[in-house]
Amino acid sequence: MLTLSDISYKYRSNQIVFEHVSFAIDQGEIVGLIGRSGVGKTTLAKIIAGYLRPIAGHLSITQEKGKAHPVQLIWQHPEEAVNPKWRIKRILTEVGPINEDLLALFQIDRAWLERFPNQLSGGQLQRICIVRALMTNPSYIIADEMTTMLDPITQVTIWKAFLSYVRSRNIGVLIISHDQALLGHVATRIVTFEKLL
Amino acid sequence: MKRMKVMWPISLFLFIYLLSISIDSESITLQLESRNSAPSIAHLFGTDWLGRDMFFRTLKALQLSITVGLLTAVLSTIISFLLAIIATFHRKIDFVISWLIDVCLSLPHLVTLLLISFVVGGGMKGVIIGLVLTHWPNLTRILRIEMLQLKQSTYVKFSERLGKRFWWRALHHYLPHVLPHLLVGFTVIFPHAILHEAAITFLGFGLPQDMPAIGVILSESMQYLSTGMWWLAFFPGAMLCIIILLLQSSATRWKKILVKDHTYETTTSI
Ligand SMILES: Nc1ncnc2c1ncn2[C@@H]1O[C@H](COP(=O)(O)OP(=O)(O)OP(=O)(O)O)[C@@H](O)[C@H]1O
Ligand SMILES: [Mg+2]
Repeated sequence: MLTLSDISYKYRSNQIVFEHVSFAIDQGEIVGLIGRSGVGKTTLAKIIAGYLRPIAGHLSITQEKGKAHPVQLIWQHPEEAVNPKWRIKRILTEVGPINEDLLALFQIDRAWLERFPNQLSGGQLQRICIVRALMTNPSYIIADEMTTMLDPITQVTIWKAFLSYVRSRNIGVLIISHDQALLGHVATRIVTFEKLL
Repeated sequence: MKRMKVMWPISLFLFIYLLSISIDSESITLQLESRNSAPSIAHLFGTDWLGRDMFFRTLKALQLSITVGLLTAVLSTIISFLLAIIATFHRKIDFVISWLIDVCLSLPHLVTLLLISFVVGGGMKGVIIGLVLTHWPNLTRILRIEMLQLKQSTYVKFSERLGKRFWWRALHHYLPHVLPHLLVGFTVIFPHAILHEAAITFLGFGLPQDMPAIGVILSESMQYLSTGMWWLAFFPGAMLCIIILLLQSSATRWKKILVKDHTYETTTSI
């Protein structure tokens, strides 16, 4: 169970983004998170995944020293999430030995491994980032607008592979998206950010 | 073709350096019968008041200058990298290091160098410590900005979320990222250090008078210039300038190559 209690956050010297946010995701659950633009969804995702420290509140799952964070965040823009000077192979092995099954599942061509990130398309690079996140054996995944910038067909392929994997591993998923149709399709429950406040 | 253009100054530099190393200091003997002679075929740079061949003395002195410059450049570069990476530890450490950079940059180089060299006891050790301590700030300032930016990047933060240790990140993310800056910084510090060493040695605060240094040769020659022995100062001074110019021109050429991002070039080759 991943529980957030009374989480508050403000950017340095700025006004408060949100206060007293509480909610929980269980293992194997697929929760959709919606809310208007700028309400603080990405900020909350970063807090849960350990990229930002909340000014108040408690998280039930945090990172242990020297180990991967059990909650992995998949970013909207994959090109920012990888070292531009590394080849794909190195980007993946930063996590650990390459998982061939995941490469196959996400239809990743082995030839891509020798390329640099800017030599892949957005969809190809996003698949690399998803595989990288899954290779850490996370208990939870946050997908923040994971496929928003991709074409519908690529979106479907990615979601199919992603959902089959997380379901088989009983990974809890928080999907942040403006795509109601997608959420209606895959989420076991939908939460509105404004209602958490 | 382009490679050639880059290579010739550094090749010439290496040639002079190797030549200077190959000279046995024993071969610079006193030959009183041929003392005070002007440049000739037998003595390209002339001889001094003890009949020592100035060509060999100059080369030997250059060897010393280059060694001191090299040592200073290596140490300063390492110190800059370490200080810049330590600055990413915490905002307070960063504040202290930024303050140190500002202070050091506002002090006149040569005066600080003299003071430090004097305080740590002079000699070779004093000169090198003084040079290193005065040559780190410029590079550190550049590295610090680069590294603070890198620290904010998503992929470095992801590396942290993977549980990678600080020094792992320093070695695998930060070092390769700033490597071009380190190499450029190194090539800029190198000639600088040589000039400053020669300057304070000339003033009598640097290397001891019994060492074969360009600064020593130049300051000795001052006594003989009035008697018309122009070659005692001219050739050593000219050689020092040539070495500096060679280093600086290879530095600017290197900079162009190194700062360019090669990851964008391989696009078509794959
Ligand atoms: N680095 C930052 N510094 C200051 N303010 C920020 C920063 N990042 C985001 N904000 C502000 O915090 C608020 C929440 O931003 P956030 O990115 O979490 O919104 P969001 O719900 O993800 O929006 P969207 O649906 O458009 O992605 C916004 O008002 C934004 O302007
Ligand atoms: Mg967002």
